[in-house]
Amino acid sequence: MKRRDFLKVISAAGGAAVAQGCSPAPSETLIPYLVAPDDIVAGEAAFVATTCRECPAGCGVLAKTVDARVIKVEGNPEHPVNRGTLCVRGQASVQSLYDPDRFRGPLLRRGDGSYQSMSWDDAEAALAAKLREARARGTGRVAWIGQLATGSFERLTREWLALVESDRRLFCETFDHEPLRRAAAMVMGRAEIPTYRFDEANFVLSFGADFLETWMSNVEFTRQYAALRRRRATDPFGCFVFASPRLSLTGLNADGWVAVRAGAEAALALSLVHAIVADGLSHESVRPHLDWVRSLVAPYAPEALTAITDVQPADVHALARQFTTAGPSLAVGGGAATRDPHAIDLEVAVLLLNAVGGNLGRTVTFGGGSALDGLATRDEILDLERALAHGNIDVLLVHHANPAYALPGGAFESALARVPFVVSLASTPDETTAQAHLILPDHHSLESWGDYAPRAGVAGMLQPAMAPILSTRASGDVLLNVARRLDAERAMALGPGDYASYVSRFWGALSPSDQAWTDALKRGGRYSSAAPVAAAMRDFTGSFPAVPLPDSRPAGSLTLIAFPSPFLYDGRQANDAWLQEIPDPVSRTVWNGWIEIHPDTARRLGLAQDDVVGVQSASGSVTTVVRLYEGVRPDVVAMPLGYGRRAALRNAQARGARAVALLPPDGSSWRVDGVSLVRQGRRRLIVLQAETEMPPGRPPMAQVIRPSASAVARERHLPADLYPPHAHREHRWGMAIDLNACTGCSACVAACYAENNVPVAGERACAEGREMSWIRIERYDAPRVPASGVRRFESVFLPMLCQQCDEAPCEPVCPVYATYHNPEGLNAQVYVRCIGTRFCSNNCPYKVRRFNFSRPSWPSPLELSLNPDVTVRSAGVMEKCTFCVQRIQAGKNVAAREQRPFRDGDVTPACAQTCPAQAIVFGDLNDPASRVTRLSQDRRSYHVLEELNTRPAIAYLKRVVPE
Amino acid sequence: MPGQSLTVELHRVTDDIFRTFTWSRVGWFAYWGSVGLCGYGWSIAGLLWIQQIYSGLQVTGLNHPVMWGFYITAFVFWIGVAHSGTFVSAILYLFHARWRTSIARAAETMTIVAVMTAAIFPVLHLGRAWRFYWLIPYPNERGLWVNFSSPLIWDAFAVATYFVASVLFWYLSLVPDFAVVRDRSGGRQRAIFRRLALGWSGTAGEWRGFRRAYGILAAIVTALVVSVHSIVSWDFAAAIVPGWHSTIFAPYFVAGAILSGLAMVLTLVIPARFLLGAQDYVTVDHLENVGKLIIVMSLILTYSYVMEAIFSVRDDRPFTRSTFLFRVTGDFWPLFWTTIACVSLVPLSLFRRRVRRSLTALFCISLLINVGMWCERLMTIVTSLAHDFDPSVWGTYRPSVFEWTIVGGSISWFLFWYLLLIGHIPAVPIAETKQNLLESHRG
Repeated sequence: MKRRDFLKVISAAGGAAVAQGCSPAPSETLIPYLVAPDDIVAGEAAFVATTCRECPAGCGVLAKTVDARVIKVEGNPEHPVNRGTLCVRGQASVQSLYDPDRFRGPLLRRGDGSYQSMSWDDAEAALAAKLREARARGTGRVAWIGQLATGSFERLTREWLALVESDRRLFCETFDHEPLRRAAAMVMGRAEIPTYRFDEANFVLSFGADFLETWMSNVEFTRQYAALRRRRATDPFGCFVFASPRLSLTGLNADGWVAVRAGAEAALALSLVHAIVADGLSHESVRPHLDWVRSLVAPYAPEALTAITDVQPADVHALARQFTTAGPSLAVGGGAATRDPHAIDLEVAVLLLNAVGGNLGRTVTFGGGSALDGLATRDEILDLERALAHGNIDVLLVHHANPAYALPGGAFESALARVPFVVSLASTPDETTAQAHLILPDHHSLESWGDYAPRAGVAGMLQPAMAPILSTRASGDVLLNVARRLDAERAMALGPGDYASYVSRFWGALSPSDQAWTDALKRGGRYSSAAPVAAAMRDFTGSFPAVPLPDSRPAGSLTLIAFPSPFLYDGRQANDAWLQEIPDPVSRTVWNGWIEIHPDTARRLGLAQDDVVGVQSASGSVTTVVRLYEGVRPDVVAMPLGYGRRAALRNAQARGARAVALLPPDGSSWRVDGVSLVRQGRRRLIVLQAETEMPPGRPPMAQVIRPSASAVARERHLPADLYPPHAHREHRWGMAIDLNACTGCSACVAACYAENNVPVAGERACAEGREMSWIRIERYDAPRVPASGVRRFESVFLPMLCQQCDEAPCEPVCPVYATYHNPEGLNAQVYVRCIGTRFCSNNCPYKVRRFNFSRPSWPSPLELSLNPDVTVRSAGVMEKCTFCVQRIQAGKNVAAREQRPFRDGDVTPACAQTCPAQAIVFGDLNDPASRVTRLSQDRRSYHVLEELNTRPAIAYLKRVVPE
Repeated sequence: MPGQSLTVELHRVTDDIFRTFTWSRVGWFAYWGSVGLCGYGWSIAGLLWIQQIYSGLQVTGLNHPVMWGFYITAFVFWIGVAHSGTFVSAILYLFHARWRTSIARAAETMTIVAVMTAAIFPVLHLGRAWRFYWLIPYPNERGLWVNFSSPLIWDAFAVATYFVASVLFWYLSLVPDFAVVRDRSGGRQRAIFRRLALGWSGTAGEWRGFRRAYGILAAIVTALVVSVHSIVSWDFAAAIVPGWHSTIFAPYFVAGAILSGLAMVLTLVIPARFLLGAQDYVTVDHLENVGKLIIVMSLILTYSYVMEAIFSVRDDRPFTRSTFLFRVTGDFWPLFWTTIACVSLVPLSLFRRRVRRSLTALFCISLLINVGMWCERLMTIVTSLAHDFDPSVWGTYRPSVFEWTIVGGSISWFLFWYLLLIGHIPAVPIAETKQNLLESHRG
């Protein structure tokens, strides 16, 4: 029996057992069992398979619970979406579970605006009374606006609304991909999100789609993209070009950057189609359509569009060739370009591009049944907004959605004020909840029953990984209880029992011991592969608007684009301290929002880094701080979404500015022309690992290799030593990090926070350079190539953690042996022996040691998330990466218990475990067959600062950059 | 002094020096007032230290990557100050430089107090200061031992050794003087000094033993002068940090230490000779000689700076070069140029005899050298840490109010003990002055 299997069995049984323990009243004791169930052992971790609900991607997670508390989440290896890995936001979901600002029970707003806590009974009765009144006034007077739901909750809300004589139900997501669905309807006759296969493609062209960070299913796409990069590592032209006015994290991973004018992405895509057709490069499958395609794109000759797109025709033709000759390629469109008056044009053009490139049915398929197809359209939202404003809605239920913050213009907010009774089912305060009359806090998803199917064939299960810690109640249960109060007879149709039994019935479980049901619980869902349907392009000339070209803009005017924050997403996770404290991979900023300005533009406007600027658009104005960035076009400024929260959230409130306030009030665009910036003062933007250019003359920290580089194994220059080398008799732990796969997503950083009880330092300490993270993502950009055409921005992300050197400079300088070389090659750090001379940190060339300048603290109830296997360090001691020594020990224990030798893969540190690109490989360097040994001897392998002769245990594999 | 017999003159020496020992009413108030003020100063610093222990080193300006700052600078600075005492006493003694006598006591006392001040800082800067005794190898049932390969352990030993040797050396020279005080006073003072004088009666045998012991101790302490600051320099040189990892560090630190010590001697002795009315014994000639020594040490340091620059620029690895450039032009450029100005340029003015013999000039120069040496240590420590190998985590450093106050408090601490000691012992060696007098009469 493998360890994972063992844990899975434990998890299934454990999940059931924990579910039995569910009760609305929080337990007071740490180990709540008087007579412990056989399968829960105090201090032993149990894994509960459930689903991450932080974004609509729906990754499967295994919640690691110790003593009935979730302490960490990891990807579910069986889940087809994420295959065992998780992104930074998924890792941070534990933070939202233990969010100190969570509602602790139902609240009713008094006349004076203050809130009064009440019992669940009273709260449900109050809701039932209001619903009864609403129902009495006619049909359609109750509305539901909520996060995307599928499966049992989708059915429950539908049935429940029917009970109150309504069908007004909107599932809202800030990033709804509506233009894509409409474009697909136009081009393919199917209003749905296609399925993308980045791993099947040989070349990817992204028009602003941040598929490595926020776009649709970033974990899945990162895995696929990493596979593509590995496969195409020897391509002299690279495998990924990013066309956007701003380089996002995804863009920084590209081999080339086409800095297209903002709003002209559609024109560029169409001119590419034109070039492909005109140059005779189109795929044979598209031959029957060539005539109408040719006439459709006739106005978009690259030569004619240069003034609009700011891309030279020669580059368009070269890109066209690259796109078509690579075999199946893949074009995707997203980001600000798809929240734009030209968004549908872009998505149409991208589909057309995929068609002429012969990608339809290969890297772009249909019939995937994406959950995103169930999202409300903008028209539906506006419709509801009108109904609210006209007083047609008596009761509005808001379930994990925050339209008051996410929608621009404030129209929704004022419409909300017209609703007589707003019920919020949120867990934490938000801008919409601020206007609620009744707050019925939902469980966190890690405490909930439920299900979520991100796409057809992938039905993910939600099961409580622990009993709720606060007096919250599952929204499903609230709905069932209220329905029964309202109309006991008709509520019979919803079935007996609580929401948990509703879910199990939905899953077809006949009894709690039903084999199929327990199997789903064990595996975290049911997975099958849905075969794509055959879909063909059709002639849509008639419905395609004639000249969808952007308006010309006066020279010197600035365009603002808003982009999804890779960490805060649309702002929903802004209160998770880790996501505030881990530096944004692009701007390196922590604990604040910013506006990105090209240095040339800043110079023209007389602005400098850290200037506080008032940003004014036709729709509104905000105040934020300048961050200089060469990855935006000089005529563009860019702001992240997700900042400037108003709600009472300790980590998010009034941090940064709400970019949405500047956008057109109709919600049509994330781009706004003619913004002006006025300097208002200075405020230091806290930036960590700010240096992204290697000073000349130094050996690069992050190294690159050209595909043509000769395949000689690197020579290791090891000077003679005075002392004999360390003997590592049994194991010598080592790591290999593939810079060619690493995308800089920072999931490893969040995983390390979770696994190793790394304290959150907070804004002030970060400003003072006292952040505590054991692993950081450094970024090095190559010196700039003059801007024109397809540019190189050659960024390399370098995860930097303790290198566990064999000749560690930290070891000899410690006067008390608090750090020493252990027999397995680790630079062990003994916290209790450390007296805090900090000499080790001074002498560490990698500067990976972290000193506790203050006593770490975890605001309650965050202390429940601490990993009991890892010591919480006190003030005055040094700490650093241990290669997750507790996991190493656990892995060795398992091997010993099973009376077998240690095998490669028995131990995976938290960072390697979660890496969506699987760029980190850990293992035993003493084992010649281990993956890490083989990778360490790769021709791309090198050690950072090798010339210092520290002999690190971490080998980095150079990033391959095109010629 | 013509017209006076040698005996009278010798007697006058005793009278004069002993007078530095008895206070006028105003003097008494001034003295105890100063002592009290200094005591108040370091008490404030002490309170801040308690606060620092309570809230952790977050109250300092230290950060990742600059883990050492004002406190370690203060340690090196005070250890440096501690060097001239022994230098003046021991080395000049061995070289028979007779002029050293007048300032020897002041310098030796300064050494002891400076070591007492310096020794606080390695403890004070610890993350867990209450565990400082783990730096001492003592047998314990946990079987824990110190790491003898750590320069910090060498440091602990070197400083402790130096302190013990300096105290012995200082005390030995005091024994005959204590006897003088004993013989001239009564009551409780007599009782105390009888103990301190260890029964000295001035027999020829005692003098012979005294000479021999003094010579041996001088030789030992001379070795220590070189070794202690070499070892302090290895705190840095044994690390791989660019700008620290250099073979020149030991001699360069020793020279720097002697320079700062000599400057501190001037800073203290020039006002003290007025306050104690010892102008006849600490003459301008003596101070001029210190000025000459300062020139020598300053030139040695300038040579070291030049060598360091050449080593840095010619290093085949870029790190040292870049650190050097950072020192010269980076965030901390004022430190570098202040150092050059105060340590290399200002002392050149001492080539002029007029400057050398002007007490005001000497005093000002000594202050400037002190400032320069402080800047040099701070620059060496901070710039190397702020910009070392990984550009992504380069940082900067700004001392906090706590660091300023505690370092300022260390000056109070130093003056407090210095005043207390020098006020209660013969500030100029009586016996040795007399001996010089005798020899010059003979000579």
